[in-house]
Amino acid sequence: MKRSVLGSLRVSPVVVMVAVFAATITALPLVYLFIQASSRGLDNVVEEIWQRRTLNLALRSLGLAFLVTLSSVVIGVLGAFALVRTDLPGRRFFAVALVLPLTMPSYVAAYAWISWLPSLAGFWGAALVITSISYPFVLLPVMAALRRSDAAQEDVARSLGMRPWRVAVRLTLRQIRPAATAGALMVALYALSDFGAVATMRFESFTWVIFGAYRAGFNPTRAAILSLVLVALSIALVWAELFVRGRGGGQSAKVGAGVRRQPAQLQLGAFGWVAASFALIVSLVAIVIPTSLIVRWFFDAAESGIDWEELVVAAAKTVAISVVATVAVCFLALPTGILAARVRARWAQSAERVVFVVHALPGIVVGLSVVYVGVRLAPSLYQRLPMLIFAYVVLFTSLAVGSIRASVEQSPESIEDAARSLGLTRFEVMRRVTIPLAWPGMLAGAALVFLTVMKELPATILLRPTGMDTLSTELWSRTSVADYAGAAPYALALILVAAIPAALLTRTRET
Amino acid sequence: MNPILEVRSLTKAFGTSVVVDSATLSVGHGQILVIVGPSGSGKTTLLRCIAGFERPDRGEILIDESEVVGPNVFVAPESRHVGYVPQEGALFPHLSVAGNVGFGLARGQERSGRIADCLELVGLSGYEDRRVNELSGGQQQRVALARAMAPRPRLIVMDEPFSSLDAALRPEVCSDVLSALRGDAATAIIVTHDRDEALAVADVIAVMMAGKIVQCDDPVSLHQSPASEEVALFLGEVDLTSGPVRNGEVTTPLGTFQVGSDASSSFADVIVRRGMNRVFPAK
Repeated sequence: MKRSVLGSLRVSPVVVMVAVFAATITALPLVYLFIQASSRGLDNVVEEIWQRRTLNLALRSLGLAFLVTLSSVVIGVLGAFALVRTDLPGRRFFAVALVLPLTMPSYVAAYAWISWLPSLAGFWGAALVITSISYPFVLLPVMAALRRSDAAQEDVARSLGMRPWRVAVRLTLRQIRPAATAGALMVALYALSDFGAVATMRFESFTWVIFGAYRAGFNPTRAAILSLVLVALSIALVWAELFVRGRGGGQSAKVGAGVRRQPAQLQLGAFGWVAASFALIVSLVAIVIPTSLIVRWFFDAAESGIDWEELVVAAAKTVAISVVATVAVCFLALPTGILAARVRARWAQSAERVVFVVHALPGIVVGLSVVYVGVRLAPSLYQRLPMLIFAYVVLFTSLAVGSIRASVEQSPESIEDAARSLGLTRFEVMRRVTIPLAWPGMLAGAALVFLTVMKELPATILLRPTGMDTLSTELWSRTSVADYAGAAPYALALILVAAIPAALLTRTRET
Repeated sequence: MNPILEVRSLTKAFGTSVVVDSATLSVGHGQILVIVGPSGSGKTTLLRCIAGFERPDRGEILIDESEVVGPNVFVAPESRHVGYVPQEGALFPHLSVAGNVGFGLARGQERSGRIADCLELVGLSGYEDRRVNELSGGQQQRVALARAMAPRPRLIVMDEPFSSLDAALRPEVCSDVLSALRGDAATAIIVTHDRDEALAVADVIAVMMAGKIVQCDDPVSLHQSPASEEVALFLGEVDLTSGPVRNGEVTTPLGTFQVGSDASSSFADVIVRRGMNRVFPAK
């Protein structure tokens, strides 16, 4: 028997092979994006980039991302602090209401607002809508960080003479900084990559212009070049976050055993009602107003008659496609997540990182890249279901990898060692020990993928087979011709169907 | 009788630091070998090499006279028939006690009988259907042992099996484990940093320091004639004194002692323990 790298690994060679395969196919579209962008020569690339309109475009998109991120961090951090650490009136209600917008697709919220206040169209409308659905990306991790943080540190600060509010600012903010920056990164990436809200609000940001260049301008090369610029911006953001987090520290150094204790609640007093009104306004803007507007349009539509059959067919197709995509994503994400959790060698970690870098890519870019792959590698599959599923796999594998990795890491490696010493091969250990133990986390990851696939818009528009209408594309085709009443049933159906995996997610988080 | 386990000049380095440095060992049938040493001395790594979770850089390991580690040979842990009891027990939390103990057994008629036997050996008869998180730390450790014994491995290795237990509980669990191993005529290697534990349970003790096995002997000989000053210091409460050597005798405030054959230096350290003394040439 020869010494081999695979032989001494903790994981089965099958796992390694599937993980490498997953990293390769997720990176493939990016390669084709480069090929397409440079198809008219490098001079053309430089010329396209060094244009005043490209610079303006970048400034507009970055301005949107900056404003959305800033307001999301303010809302998310204040909201999390109020929910976890204070006696905010109506805390139980707000704990649900403030998280709900996470399930609201951006184009649904945008459609609701613009159908009511057409003057919102443009920068401010896009900023409002994207903030209102993406601040939970900050709220949730900061809430988790506040629950995790050790009260003893804050007690010590109090005993050293610091007043409660100063403790909150000096110590608590530092404890939540890694969670807040990670959340801010997600928001910024989301703001750069969102297509539905900016398209509905007719705000000329990167994604909308890329779509226009490809669809209306029939200029795939310009679309590819602009996509590359957007990719560069996204990757720069990921780097910036790594830099900020690297210096942040923020982990509590815990000495010895002992149980973490929850810190005392801050008494808000009369200020409580100010805080509660703030929370109320956020939930009104983020969830109550858009939903009630859609419900109002729905009754308008009901009066003139709804094509129920078309609606049910679209809902069924949406669920079916999402199920297939979720299964495909999980099949590829499982080995990548296990590999990243169990093998610390650099090559294994980079398999995970490839998947994550691709996750920073906007849906419109991945959709376009998959079109290019399809045109060059498999023309017969273009606008067929496999290509659409492929795009979902590229877009969302990282979502599942994250939760799979985290849930595998929760059980110690020695459990797997014990199983192997009892005569199980590495593959059997994975089947009988690793996967059963990580099962709840994997289900949560699958629910997240399912939810996200269902909401996906740009790649679906670009790649859906002809005649294959999902809830999101039906909604899109109606809102883009200002048929607001006709769009309402699809918007409501989308919200309702999305509520199922969302409810599953909150349940698994609690237990 | 031929040894169950033979380790020959085994070396394992992580990067540039040599963790196990040409270690040599052998364990006979039914023996309990304890590897003892200060933390960081490479005990756990040696144990993991034997179980197959680490791949040594050099050296050989033979189990039951067949080579499992050698030049161009590396047998996977699942094919070695070495039962492994990790530090925290590492029970499978998704299985019952019986599910844990029977994990390594093939499905068949003998399965439930062997589970019951092993649970009886560790003093946990009737616990089959319990969930493992309902058990105390000592009970969990005993289930982990039963799980390792169940498939009748050629050798059982235990990594600091008692270190996570309460000090008050340790002697009791320790003697339960010992009688279970003896009851099944099992061969075992136990790693510990606790010298009292080592002296209490071992047939043979291997003292490991800085990656090397510095002495391997039965507890009594080890106690009475430690091979070096470090071993003596590690193994028990001692007093240390010294004095000049003249005519094969060293003179100290405690009296004059005979110096052994290796008395070439002019100054000697004397280690005094109740019932014994040893003289080492001064450094």
